[in-house]
Amino acid sequence: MQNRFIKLLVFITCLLAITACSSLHSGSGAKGEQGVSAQQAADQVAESKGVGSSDTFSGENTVNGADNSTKLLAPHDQIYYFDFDDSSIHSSDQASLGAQSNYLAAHPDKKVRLEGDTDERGSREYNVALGWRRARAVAQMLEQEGVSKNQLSLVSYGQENPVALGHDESAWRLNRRVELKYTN
Amino acid sequence: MIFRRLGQIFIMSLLLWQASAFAMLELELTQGVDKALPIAILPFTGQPEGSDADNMTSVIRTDLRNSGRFQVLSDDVFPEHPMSFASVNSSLWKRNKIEGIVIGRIQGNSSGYDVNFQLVDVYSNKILASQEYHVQQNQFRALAHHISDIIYQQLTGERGVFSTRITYVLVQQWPDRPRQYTLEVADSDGFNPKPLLISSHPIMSPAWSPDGKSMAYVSFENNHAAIYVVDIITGNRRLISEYPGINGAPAWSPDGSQLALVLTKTDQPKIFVLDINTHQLTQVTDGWSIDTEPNWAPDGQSIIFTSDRGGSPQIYRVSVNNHHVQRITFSGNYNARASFTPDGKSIVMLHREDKLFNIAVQDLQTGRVTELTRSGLDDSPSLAPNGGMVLYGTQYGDRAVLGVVSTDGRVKLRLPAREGEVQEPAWSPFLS
Repeated sequence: MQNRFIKLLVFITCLLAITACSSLHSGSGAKGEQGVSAQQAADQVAESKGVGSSDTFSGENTVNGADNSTKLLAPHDQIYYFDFDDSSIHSSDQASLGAQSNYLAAHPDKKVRLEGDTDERGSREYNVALGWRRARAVAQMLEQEGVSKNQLSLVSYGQENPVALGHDESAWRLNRRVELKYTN
Repeated sequence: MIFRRLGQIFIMSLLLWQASAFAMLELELTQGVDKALPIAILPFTGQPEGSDADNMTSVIRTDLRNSGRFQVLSDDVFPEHPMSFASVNSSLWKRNKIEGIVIGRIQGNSSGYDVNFQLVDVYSNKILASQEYHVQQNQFRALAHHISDIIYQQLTGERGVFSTRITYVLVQQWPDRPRQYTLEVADSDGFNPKPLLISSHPIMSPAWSPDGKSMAYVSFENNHAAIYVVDIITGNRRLISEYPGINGAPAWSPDGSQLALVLTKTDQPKIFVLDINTHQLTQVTDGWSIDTEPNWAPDGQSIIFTSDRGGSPQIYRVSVNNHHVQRITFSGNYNARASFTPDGKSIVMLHREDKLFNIAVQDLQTGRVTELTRSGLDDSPSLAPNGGMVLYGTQYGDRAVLGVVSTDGRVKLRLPAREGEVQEPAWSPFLS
């Protein structure tokens, strides 16, 4: 009886540990869930586009470091999402954008590519322009925080590079995005 | 109706590609006009053994049927099988209410084939067209399209587009491989596809030069957008524009000497005009808006484009000379990708009404907008060079396919691909 009880306790503890781990990695702020589901969607689509892992930052306190660069850990590639026909950045993304810009400003040799995308509705070249606006919005926010223009390259794929292939809002919301990708 | 001399020889422009029996796209008529003209295409005598794709009778019948304007009658209703105009008993045909007859003959000889045909108007009992050609068997299909053009023009008064071509982007996806994008050129019925570019990156906005010999397009190879122009026959291409940011929506001026395109040199997408020979670049629109999707007026004096300068995408017109801009569309909250009909009096465009994206035509004088399609998921309209048909992208059964609709809305066709998705079509100019 005691043996079984211990096994049950161990089992429950493990379960809790696993749940705790996954919530640690589900990212910062409200964007976390969306980041995870994008990852799942990308796996199902079987498209080898290297959609980044969910946003996780484990930066250390750098207040005292003269040598900041060795203290900051490299952030990962990241995805930012947008509303329909809109290019304004969600306020919930500002924290993670801040972390990206801190890192990039401290490492001027690091470069990122910002890829703007839209959902499939509307006219294709107009969507290239809308994706461009989104990429520009992210670029401007990074530049305001001290990232140099030289570190950023921008491209808009419009609706041509979807990660989700459905024809409804559950797919469209995953396609309205800017992907931030480290190129070195 | 013109009587043509018998024995007139017509030299066909040689097609440099072998005709093939393969069609990547399959054309299906989904709606024809109510009062289609009844016509009988008698089987051409002397058709040699070969593939079905070379069967001239079958190609002409399919062309005319797919135009939606003809009721192409089947053999079992023919009252007789005359071998030439001289032996036609027109009262027999009138009794069956058949208005036109086509009689054709193919004769082989040592250097190829002599093909002749006659188009007979039953009611006036006159020959409307009579031609003779000398061709090789691998030109049968192209010659059949040419004959369809003649028949179509004689009976409708409009120039036929059976000898024109279309281009489109084919997107294919297999498990464990990146997507493949192919820019293809095919006959207007989908046959004889040839690739111009195969890429693992998106291809967009193909645009035929006015002489039909070159194609401009946007390619994302190298992870950024660039505009290329390719010689369709040789496949040689040159890089036209590769500025940082957007290089998009190339559009040829009517004389073929300039390309309108979209660049973000000023940080916003704006319309520029590039002189192809001198490489001079002129900015044509300015401001903070998105300006894109330029297309030239037939007289080359103005360019229509999509802009959100008024708050949502609408069509505007800019004068090439003084850059004065004027708004054109006022109906619906989203109008985009407009192009002129050949007579310059109307535009065809993507139009949204109640969240549904359809193809519409607007009369520039009255401002009246007429929707041509109903699916709600349409894009990329492209006019045939006779202004009578629009080729566009649409969805059917969860796949991206092409559609064709006549500019009066009465005739509808669908072109799905055998495999994959097909999008971004463009209709060639007249090629002969």
